[in-house]
This record gives sequence, C-alpha cells and structure tokens, in this order.
Amino acid sequence: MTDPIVLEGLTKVYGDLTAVDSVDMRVKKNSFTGFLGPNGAGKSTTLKILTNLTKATSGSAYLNGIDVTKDFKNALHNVGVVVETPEFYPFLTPKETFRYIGEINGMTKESIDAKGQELFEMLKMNEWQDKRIGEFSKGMKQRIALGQSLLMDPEIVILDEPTSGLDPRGMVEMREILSNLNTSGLTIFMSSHMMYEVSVLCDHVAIIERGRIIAEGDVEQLLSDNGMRRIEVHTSKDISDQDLEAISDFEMVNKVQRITPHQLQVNLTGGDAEQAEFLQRLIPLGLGVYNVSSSGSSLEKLYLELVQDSR
Amino acid sequence: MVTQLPSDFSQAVTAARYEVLKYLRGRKLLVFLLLTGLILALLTAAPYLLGTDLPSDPRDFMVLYLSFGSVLVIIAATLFSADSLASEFDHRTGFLIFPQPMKREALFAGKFMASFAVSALMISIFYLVVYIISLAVTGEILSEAYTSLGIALLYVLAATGFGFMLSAFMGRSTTAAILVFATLLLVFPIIDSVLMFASIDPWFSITQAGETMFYVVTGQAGDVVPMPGFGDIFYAEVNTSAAVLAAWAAVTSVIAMLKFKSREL
Repeated sequence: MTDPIVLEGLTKVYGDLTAVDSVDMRVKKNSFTGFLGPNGAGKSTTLKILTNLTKATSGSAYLNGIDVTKDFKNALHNVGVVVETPEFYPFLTPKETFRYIGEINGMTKESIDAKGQELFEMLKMNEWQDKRIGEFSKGMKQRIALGQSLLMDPEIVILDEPTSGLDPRGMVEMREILSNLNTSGLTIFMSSHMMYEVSVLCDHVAIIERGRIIAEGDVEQLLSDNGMRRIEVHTSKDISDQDLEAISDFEMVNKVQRITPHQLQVNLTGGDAEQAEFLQRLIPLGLGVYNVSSSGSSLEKLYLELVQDSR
Repeated sequence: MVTQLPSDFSQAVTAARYEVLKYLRGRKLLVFLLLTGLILALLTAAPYLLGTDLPSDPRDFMVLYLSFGSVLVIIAATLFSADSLASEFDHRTGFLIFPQPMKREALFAGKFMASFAVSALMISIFYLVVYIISLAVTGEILSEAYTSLGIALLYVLAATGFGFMLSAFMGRSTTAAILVFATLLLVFPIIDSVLMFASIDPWFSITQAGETMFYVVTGQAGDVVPMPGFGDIFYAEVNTSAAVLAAWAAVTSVIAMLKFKSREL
C-alpha cells in the first residue's frame, strides 16, 4: 500500500538559499507524525509545497499517490490543511465558511451542515457558528481552521504549528482535540516547535535541519536507537557510587545520572524488552525502587543532539 | 467522506457567489450607491437651486448627466477590483483558500465574474436612473445613450481587468486601490493629453477609449479638433474604442491571472 505522504527529492531554492534540499520522506498511514526543525530549517516550506502555497523547484510530493506538484487539485482532494493560522473572510460566519469550503470540495449543503454541527460541538464553537468571524480571537480562529480541515472527513490532515500563538489554555484545549483525532484513523502530519507537544501527540517524527531530513521514524525506535529512552528511578534507600557503577555496567544503559540521593535518571538503548531486563536487574541491587517513570524530555534531548551533530 | 470534486467552472461560480456576498455585506456597495445617489441628486437639484431648468434637449440632458460616468467606472474598479487578489495575500485568507482543491484560475475567474458583475450592475443602475429622469424631463432617451452604456460596460470590463492586474502584483490591498484610482483618473489621462499635445492620437489608451462613453453622447466621437500651437484633440471612434477596451480587458486579465497563479504565499 502506498504511504499517504511521500516526498521524493523535493527541493526548493530561493536565489542562493536552498530551503529544502532533496528531501526524501514517507509518512505512514494512520500515523501522527511530528515534523521538527529549527527556524528556517525548511519545515514551513515543505508544508507549503505540499499544500500548493509554494512551487517546488524540483522533486515530487505525493499525497495519496498523486503528485501535488503536477496535479494539486486531485492531490489535495480529501486532504485537510491548516497552515500558519489562516485568516478567515470576516464577512462570513463559521457556518458559512464551512459551506464555502465544503462546496468547493463537492459536498452537499446537507452533509456540510451535518458534519459542521458535529465539528462545532467537538470544537466547543456551537454558540459562535452564526457569528461573523471578523472579531474572533486567534484561538477561536484556530479551532475554525482545524474544523474546516476536518470537514470532508479527510484521509490526511496537514497542520503547521497548530498551537502557535495560543495562550496556555488554548494550547491545552487544542492538544486535547488533536489527541482525540489521533485515535480516529487519520494520517496527521504536523510541524511544531514544541517538543512536549510532539512527544505527547506523535508516534512518528521527522527532523529537518538546513533543508535535509536528519532523522525520521517511530519515536520510541528513534529514542532507543540513539540511547535516548530515558527513565527516572525513585528509590527509598540512598544510591551509592558502587550502585551507580553497577548500573552503568548494564549493557542496555547508555548513561546514568544521580539527580538526588534517591533519584536516578537513566538513558537506555533498545526497546521495551531491554527496559524490562533493566528493571529485573535493578531490583536485586536492593535500592528499594518504588517508582519508575518515563522522562518526557527524551525527545527534546534527542532533537537537540541531532541538530547539534548536523551543524 | 470521499466526494466528487466539482468542475473548475462550478468552483468558479461558487467563488463568485461568495465574492458577491462579500460586497453585499461590506460597506463598498453602500458607499458606491450613496455616491451615485449624491451625484444624481446634485445634478438634478443644482439647476433648480440656481434658478434654471434641467436641459429639455435629450442630448444636452445626457451630456450633463453622463459627464460623471467615467469617474463612476473608475471608482467602481477601485472599490470592486483593486483589492480582490491582493487581499488574499495581504489579509492572509490565501492560507485558507489556496490549499483547497481548486485551481487558482477558477478562483480568479470567480473573483473576476463577481467584480465585473457588481461593477456592471452599479453602472447599469446609474444609467437606468439617468434614462428614467431623461424620460421624465425630456420625454425621450437619446439613442446614443444606449451606445454609451455599451461602451461604459466595456470600460468596466477593461478597468476590472486593469484593477485585477495591479491587484495581482501588489502586496497591500490599499496600495492596489490607490494605484488603480490614481492611474485611471490621473496618470493615463495626463499621458493622453501629452500625446495629443504632440498631435499623437492615443487611440490605444484605456482612458481615451473609455471617455468615448461620454463623447458618443456629445456627438464628438471620432472627431479630430486641431488646436494650433497645442496639438490636436482626438476623440476616439466608437468601434475603435470598443475594440481597444476589449483588448485591454483581455490582456490585463491574462497578465493578472498568470501572476496570481504563480504568486506564492
């Protein structure tokens, strides 16, 4: 089966600057893929090419097997897009905006209104659906933007920093909505600056730096491959230097740090099996382990190391 | 939900419908109608206020009322065309509409249809009111007044194309509007005058051709009046004007569409 998003040798050159440099990448069906990279790395340009906002200099970008650089009309059919918090036509209400977008996509008025109602409820925008968008806050506009992208029940949704510019509450609410989408069988491709957001939402990541993909794949696999599966171990007894030495000798341990006399931070290589084996070997040391948790900053650490290495 | 995508034409019609809705809900239409009403009211009331009557001769009547016609065309182009394309970039609405599965050509066509339709309707309403007043005051409508309407609608088409062309190149809606207004009201007429001063017939000029909507009712269309020491005054001929305006509409529209299609956000 063809992957829903495939980039082949995708290149975009602006004068002397190569913003996207021969990018090859595949986004797996039903995955939630985070697209990470520093400012100016080529994230937005890649998404803009995928969404017909910018033309590629060379290469191909396939959506559901159709090259967007050659036939964007059919390529973008059944693809929902939110790029850079779009502005809306201020003279239209959210309901009318959905009708406009729906009609362009070939939906009937009845199906637009039915799906729209479902989306307004999901987005908690019910009471605003008949008010003109002109004076809406950025958070409200971002919800409407997400709503219009889901109107056609698309197979692919492309999101460009969907929580950017939102206040903390807006971010949490948007993440909740995105998190629920993740379970509905969509393929979601999302660029973001926020490592926490990507770590809680995405099961796959692609990291771009200076226009080139420097890492991509399953999040857990990437962390494991790079010794970045990080856990925190809490003990009831003091952790001695001998204990630290013993733990660092475990072959699956990439790095171990004593944060407090009763807390360790351990970077592991390998996957679930290696973590299970680590715990089996940790208990006999008699440290009184009472809590083991994943450290949320693993992805951030991996990202920083990969970006640093590529420079 | 997998839907059948509508044809390009169908999508253009959808875009046109929502563009018309924009004008219906915006202030521009109201501003134009108020301005037109004000001009008509002043023209009708002024003679009575000055103690004279409105011209009883149908030609004199039309000359009085249609002297402002070309200005109204320029205002219509400024209000309903100049920001049509630029606003998608300036106001960032392009981020919503461009990623939709609709060709830019279809969006362009929809916008053009809407702008032309609204402008043409406004000018037609102006002419209709003038015809009605003419019937009431003079008892008839000058036959050339119908030709004038035809030329006026062609001028609207050309001015819409010109407005779209500048709009496609401009980053800001306001800049596009100012440029369209200034170019059609001042720059081109000045160039026309300079050319005439050098005894060169500016038959190819959009404003020269557009002014025929007025000169056809004065009966001067096609005339050349020598002005010793000051060149010649050329009044464009009706058929030539129609062809020139059609050519301006075609060329500027094609340039506008190509630029709009290739422009990136």
